[in-house]
Amino acid sequence: MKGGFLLSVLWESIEQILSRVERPGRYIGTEWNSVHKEWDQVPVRMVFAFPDLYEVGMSNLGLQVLYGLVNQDKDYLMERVFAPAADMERELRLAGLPLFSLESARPLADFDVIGFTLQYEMSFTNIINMINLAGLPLRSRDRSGEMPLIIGGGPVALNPEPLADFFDLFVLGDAEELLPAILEVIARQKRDSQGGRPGKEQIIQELSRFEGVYIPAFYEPKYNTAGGFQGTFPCVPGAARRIKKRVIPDLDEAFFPVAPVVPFGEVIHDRAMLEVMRGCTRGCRFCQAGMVYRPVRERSVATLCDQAAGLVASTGHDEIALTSLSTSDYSGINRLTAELLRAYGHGGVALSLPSTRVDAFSVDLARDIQQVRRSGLTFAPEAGTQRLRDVINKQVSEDDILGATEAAFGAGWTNIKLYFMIGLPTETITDLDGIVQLAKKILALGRSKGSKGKKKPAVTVSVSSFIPKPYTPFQWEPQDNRETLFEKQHYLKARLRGPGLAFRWHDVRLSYLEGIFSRGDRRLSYLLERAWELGCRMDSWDEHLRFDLWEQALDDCAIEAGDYVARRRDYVEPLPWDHLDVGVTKAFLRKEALQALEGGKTADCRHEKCPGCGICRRFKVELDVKEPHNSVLQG
Amino acid sequence: MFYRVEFSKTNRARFLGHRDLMKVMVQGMRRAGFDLALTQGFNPRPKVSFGPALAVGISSQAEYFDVELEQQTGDGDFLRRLNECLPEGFAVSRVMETKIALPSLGVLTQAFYQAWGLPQQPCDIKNSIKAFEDAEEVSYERSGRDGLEKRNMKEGVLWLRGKEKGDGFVILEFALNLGNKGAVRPGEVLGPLGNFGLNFFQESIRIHRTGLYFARGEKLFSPLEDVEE
Repeated sequence: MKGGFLLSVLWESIEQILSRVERPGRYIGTEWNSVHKEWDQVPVRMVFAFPDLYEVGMSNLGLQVLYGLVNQDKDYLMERVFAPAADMERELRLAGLPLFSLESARPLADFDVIGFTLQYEMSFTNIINMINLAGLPLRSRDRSGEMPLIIGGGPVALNPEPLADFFDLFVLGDAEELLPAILEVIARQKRDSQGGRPGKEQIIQELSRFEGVYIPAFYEPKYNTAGGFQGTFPCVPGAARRIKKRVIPDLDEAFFPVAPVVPFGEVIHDRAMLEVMRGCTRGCRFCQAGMVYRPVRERSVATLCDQAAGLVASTGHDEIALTSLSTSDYSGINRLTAELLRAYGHGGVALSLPSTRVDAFSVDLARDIQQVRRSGLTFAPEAGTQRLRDVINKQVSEDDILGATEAAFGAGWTNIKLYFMIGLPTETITDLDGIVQLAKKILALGRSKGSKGKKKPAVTVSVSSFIPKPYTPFQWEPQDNRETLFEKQHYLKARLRGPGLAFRWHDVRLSYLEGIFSRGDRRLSYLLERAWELGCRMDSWDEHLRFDLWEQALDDCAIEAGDYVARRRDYVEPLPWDHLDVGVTKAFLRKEALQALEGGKTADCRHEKCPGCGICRRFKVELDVKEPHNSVLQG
Repeated sequence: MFYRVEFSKTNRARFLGHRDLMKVMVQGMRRAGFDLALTQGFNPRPKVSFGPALAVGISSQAEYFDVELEQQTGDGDFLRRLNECLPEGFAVSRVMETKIALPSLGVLTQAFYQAWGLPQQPCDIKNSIKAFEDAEEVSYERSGRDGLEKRNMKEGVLWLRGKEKGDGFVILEFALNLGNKGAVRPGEVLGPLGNFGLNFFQESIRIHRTGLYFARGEKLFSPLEDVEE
């Protein structure tokens, strides 16, 4: 970690700027466990670009995984870059300086590969902005062969079409095996071209043969004369009709970073992260992550304990977060928490779970976990009535909810947070009333359970707006328009006021924009570029969202947002992501969509029979539950 | 067991703020395997306290913190182990172990600084400094809660020296009062010197803290010296 810290010639100029910007610690790259290699000694160099501020990006597990993975090889280098804050961007543009990596202050254009992680649609303008700040042409076809390869991965890479024209390549699914394979190809081609930089076309040609690699330039969308989307088709010989995502079969064998970079400053979530499992098969019908990360693959308790030991020793964090899509469902959760508490509890290291499954058992678990330090408890009923919960396949009854919250109050919690969604298909005012009634019942429970303590019970209702997502049974649904969502929020706000109740909601304009891109196609690249040109950046930040500019951009590009957001799609119409294959079949999704209308239940294949989503059969993968005798159904 | 630690914060680390610094040290000590004493109650925190905050952008060769450990570890051992666990730009220079709590770092009274900068025109350092010393009042403005406050720099600056470096740069040394009354921030010192013929290029200025002291009458004590109390 110590020793020569090799900085580029840009550093002197950057140092000047750092004295003038807020939180300059975001840009210095000298954190504990950051990796600094001799530039000239490393054949292949990549920069991981997180398209949001440092404070947000440094909580991202994917960054830590790939950073550790790539850097463990002496022939590869990975550095980091984050979206510059507004003041830094202004300084860079004024001084004519390019966006630079943290560790060695190198211009992004000096790297062989710039890899963006696509976490959420409202980071897209930041991506464009960072490519521009790097001094590179935005569109792939305008970039010359010697310029860095610009690649994208992460959850939104599964419908990357709005970004397709800007990227050379997308990585679909798990990147742990694919990324090193990509770098190996580049290393070999660089060696073979003896000192020169191998052309981009040559590299891409070879990479296109890997499963999980999507080269947008090899495909073209077709439209009929009325402008209706007809599908995305290969336009070069040999390109596969559909590209399958990559699946790592056994997470115990997969790389995990036990020496992650320890961030400076107040990062959104500053804890050592353990990835307990990947995937979720509870089958909630609105949830994209549940559909695209299948099958469920767990890590064993033994592996996790080893990793925890490494993490605590190498970071000095005082909290270990057990992350996954639904950690309470991990088959070894009891044993794991018992072992971790035994090993670290006395040393002041706390455990945390992202949210708690809605039943009393999970509250017991949460109580065990929060022995060291207590924070609030979060439950996600998602809908206010049983009818609507059945529509979305959220198998939680009102008894479950009240039982869980009663157990929580009994165990001494006073702050309960509840997550709900508005705008779900078939929603009526009765469902909104259900949210209010539930929140009030829970508050009343809290008051009657009446802790001996001084703190009064408080229930926070946090409501997000439903956005239909690709690869879910609801991908054909229309999204509620802004006025409707706003009215619903208003309705709830008026009824969720008073002592002990708090109401949180999301900006409907942001949900509208997210909805456009979430099910977007390549035509949106013009919208994105225009919005950026007009000045849009950091759209997910309240203080930076320029909705007026977005509206102007929509107008300038003559894009009918309603086509993307408000239209109910036909079950047989081609979708912009059909050429990408996440495993789950459209037939299954359609069946689920019809089931939703009847409020029918679909089982979780971990505990009941296979509902036939298709992935295991089609991808030759399987569910990997590590601790079968420790079923979570037991108390 | 109580330890008082003296460390430097240099190179790129000067761009980290006080809260970042505290986090770096606490996490570093955990990595070093120290058994940190924790406060009681709902939200146990390590028993660490730091000296006066160093402004972002300023480096230092003498900063301090106090920490209580559950178990004893030799001075030399503490220093070596912690240094192995600190990121670039942080280095522990001295450690003192005591069985009782030392006079608080919160009552440190003086901070010594060095600053260097490139003057915009040729200047006569000796005369400029003499004029500064002779002036009863040197006003400057600071934006406060109620708008711009007029303050007198002479209340906070204990002494000021300077000389030319030879490469065109001027190096100044000065001492500032710590504490709330009339305290001047190091970044505020160079500006008003323009009234006395010393105008620096803003981008050329660098400031470095060289020491922190307790004053007892006429004598100054470093935090590692003042043990008799």
